[in-house]
Amino acid sequence: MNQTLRSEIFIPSHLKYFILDGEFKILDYSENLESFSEIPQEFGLGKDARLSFPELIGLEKILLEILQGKRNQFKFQGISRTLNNENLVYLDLIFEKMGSHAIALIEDITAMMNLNQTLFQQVNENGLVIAELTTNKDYINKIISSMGNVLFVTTRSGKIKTVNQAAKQLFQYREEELIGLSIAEIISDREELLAGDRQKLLAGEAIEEIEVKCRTKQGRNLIVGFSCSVIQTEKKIPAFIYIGRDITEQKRAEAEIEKALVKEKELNDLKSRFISMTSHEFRNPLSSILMSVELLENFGDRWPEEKKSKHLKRIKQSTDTMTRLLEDILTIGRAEAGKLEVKPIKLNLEEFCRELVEEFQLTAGEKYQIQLQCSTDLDSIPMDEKLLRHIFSNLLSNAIKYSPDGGIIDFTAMKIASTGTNGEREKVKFTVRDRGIGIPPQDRSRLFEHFHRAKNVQDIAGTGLGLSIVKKAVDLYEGIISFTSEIGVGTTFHVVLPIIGDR
Amino acid sequence: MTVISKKMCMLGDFGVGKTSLIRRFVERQFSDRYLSTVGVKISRKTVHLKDVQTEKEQELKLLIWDIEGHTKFKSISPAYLQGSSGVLVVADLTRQETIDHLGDRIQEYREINPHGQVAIALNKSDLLEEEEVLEMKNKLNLPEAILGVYNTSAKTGNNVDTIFQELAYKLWLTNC
Repeated sequence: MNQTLRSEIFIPSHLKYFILDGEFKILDYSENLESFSEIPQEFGLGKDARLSFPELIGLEKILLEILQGKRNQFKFQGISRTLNNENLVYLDLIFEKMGSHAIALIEDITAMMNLNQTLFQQVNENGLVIAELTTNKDYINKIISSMGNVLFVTTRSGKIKTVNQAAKQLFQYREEELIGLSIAEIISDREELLAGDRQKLLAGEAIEEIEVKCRTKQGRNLIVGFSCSVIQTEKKIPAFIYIGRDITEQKRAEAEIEKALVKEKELNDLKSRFISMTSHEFRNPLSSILMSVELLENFGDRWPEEKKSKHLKRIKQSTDTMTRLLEDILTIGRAEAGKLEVKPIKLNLEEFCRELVEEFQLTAGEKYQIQLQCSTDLDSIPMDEKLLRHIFSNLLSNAIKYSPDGGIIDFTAMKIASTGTNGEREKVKFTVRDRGIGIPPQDRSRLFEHFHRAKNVQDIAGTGLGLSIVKKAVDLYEGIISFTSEIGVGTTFHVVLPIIGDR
Repeated sequence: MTVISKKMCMLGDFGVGKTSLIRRFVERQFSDRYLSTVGVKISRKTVHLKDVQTEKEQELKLLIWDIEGHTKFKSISPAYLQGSSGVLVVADLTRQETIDHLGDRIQEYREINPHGQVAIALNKSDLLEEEEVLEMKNKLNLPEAILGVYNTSAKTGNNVDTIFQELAYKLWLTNC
C-alpha cells in the first residue's frame, strides 16, 4: 500500500477505498477491494478503474470537478453488486478530493438496503394491488353504470345492496335512498318473486324475463321485465341479482294494438251481421214484388181490375218499404261512418214540433190524437233540425204504429236546466207517450240494436232500424234517451238534448 | 474495433417493468414475479451497430442503469443520472398514472442531461388489445425531441430489442 497517499486522510476501518488520478488510473487501494469490483480481474494498480467499476463510466466531468476543487463530494448510493455470482451486496460509492488525487470510499450498506428492499417490496406490491383493484372496480362500475338495464343486488331478505344509474333513473330514487330499501317497495305485484322465487333461485334455477308491476318513488306504475339469478359472495352468502328492462311503453303499445284488433273484429262482425240482416230485410218485399209481377204477367189479362189493383198496391207497398229501409240504412251508415254531425242553428222549436205533429196527424188519421205541449221559451233555440227530425219522426211514427187501436199520443218539449260536471247547462227535455202495445221486458235491453224488433209487433210493418237511428242521433248530440213501458198500457220515451249553442 | 461504452438509465414509476425489460434484453428471460429494485443495478450488454449509409460498424457496450422506481414516498437520487447518454423512460400501459408521470420523468432527466437521448417504453402491451394501445399512444402529450415511443412487452419481448437497439444507435451517432 502507498502510505504517502493514504496518510493524507483518516479512513474509518469499515470503509474500503481506492485512489485515482485524473485519468481514473488506480494509484492505491485498500485490502481486498477487488472483491467489490464488478470485474475483479480488471482491477489493479495502474489500471483504469472504469474497467472494474463500470459505474465510473460517464463520471469524467465529475472527477475533473472534484480534482479542481469545484465539487467537494460526489456520492452514488446503493449500487448493487453480485459477488462471486451469488451474494448480493449494496455499496455506497463516495468520491472526494485527496491532495492532487481523488479517493473513492466504499461502504457496504447491504444490511440497510435489504431492509429497504423488504419494506419497498411490501409497499409497492400493495400499491400495485390497489392500482389493479381500483382499475377493475372502475371498469366494472363504468360497465354497470352505463347499462341501459336496471340492476339491483339484494340480500336474501330482499334488502337492496347495489344499484346502478338506470335503476336510480327509472325509479326516481337517489342511491342512498335505495340502499337498504326492500325490493318489495319497488316490485309491487309479485310476491313469489320476492319470496318464493328466491327459493327457486337458491336451488340454482334462473328466472328469465318475468313481467312485474313496479312503482317509482312517486307512485307511478311501471311494467318491468326482470331476469333474476343468484351468486355466492366470497363469504358464501348469496346475493340476488335482478336485471330489469322497462317494458311499460311496449306493453301499452301491445294493449293498444290488441284493443284495435278487437275493435276491428267487432266492426267486421257488425258489418257482416248488418249485410246479412239487410239482405234478409230486402228479401221479403222483393219476393212480394216478384210474386205479384209474375201473377200479373200470367193472369193479368183474365183478372178483374180489382184484383190487379190489389197486386199493384202490394208492389207499391213493397217498394215503399224498400225505399224506407234504404233510407234508414243510409242514415245508419252515415252515422257509423261518422258523417253525421251536429250542426245547430237557431230554431223555433215549438213551431218545428207543431209542424211535425201536423204532418203525422195528417197521415195517422182521425183514430189518433197527437197532443203537443211546449214550454213558452222555445222560440229561439239552437238545434240541429235534421237530427231532431231523425229522432222525433221515428218516435212519433212508432207511437202511432204500435198503437193499433188509436188513441192519444202526447208529445211534450220543455227547457230545463241541469247541473253537470261542466256546471249548469240548459237542455231541452222531450217526451213521446203512447197508449199502445208496450215493449215486453225481455226486449228492452236490445231495443236500440239494428233490426231488433220486439216479439209483440206481430204483423205491424217495420225495419227495426228506427230506434237505432234515434239512439245514434241522441248519442251524437251527447243527449240521453230512456223509456218506460208497460205491456198493453203504453210506452213513454224521454229524450234530453243539451243546447249546444250554449257551450 | 474499439468498443465504446455508453451509460444509459431506466426511469419510471415502481412496477412498470424496468428491471424486466433489462432482463429480457440482456438475459432473454422474463418472470411474472415482482421484485422491487432498491438502489441501482448496472447491467451490460454489447450491441453491434451498423450505419447503413456509411457502412460503418461499431460495437457499443451499453451500461444500463436500472434505477429504483419512483414512489409516492421517495424520489430517486439525481446522482444516478450523471454522465448518462440516454434514458429509457418506462410506463405501464395498464396504470394511467404511470403514463401521466412520463413528462415529469423526462424533465427530471433533462435537468441533469439536457442533450441526452430519450426514448419512451409503454410496457405491458401484451395486456391490452392492439387498438387500445394505439389509442393510448395517440393520446400521449409528450415534449418534442423524443427519440420514439414504443409499446413494449418484457413478457413477449415485443419491441424490447428494437427500443434498446434504436437508443444505442442514436447514442453512437450523436456521440452523447
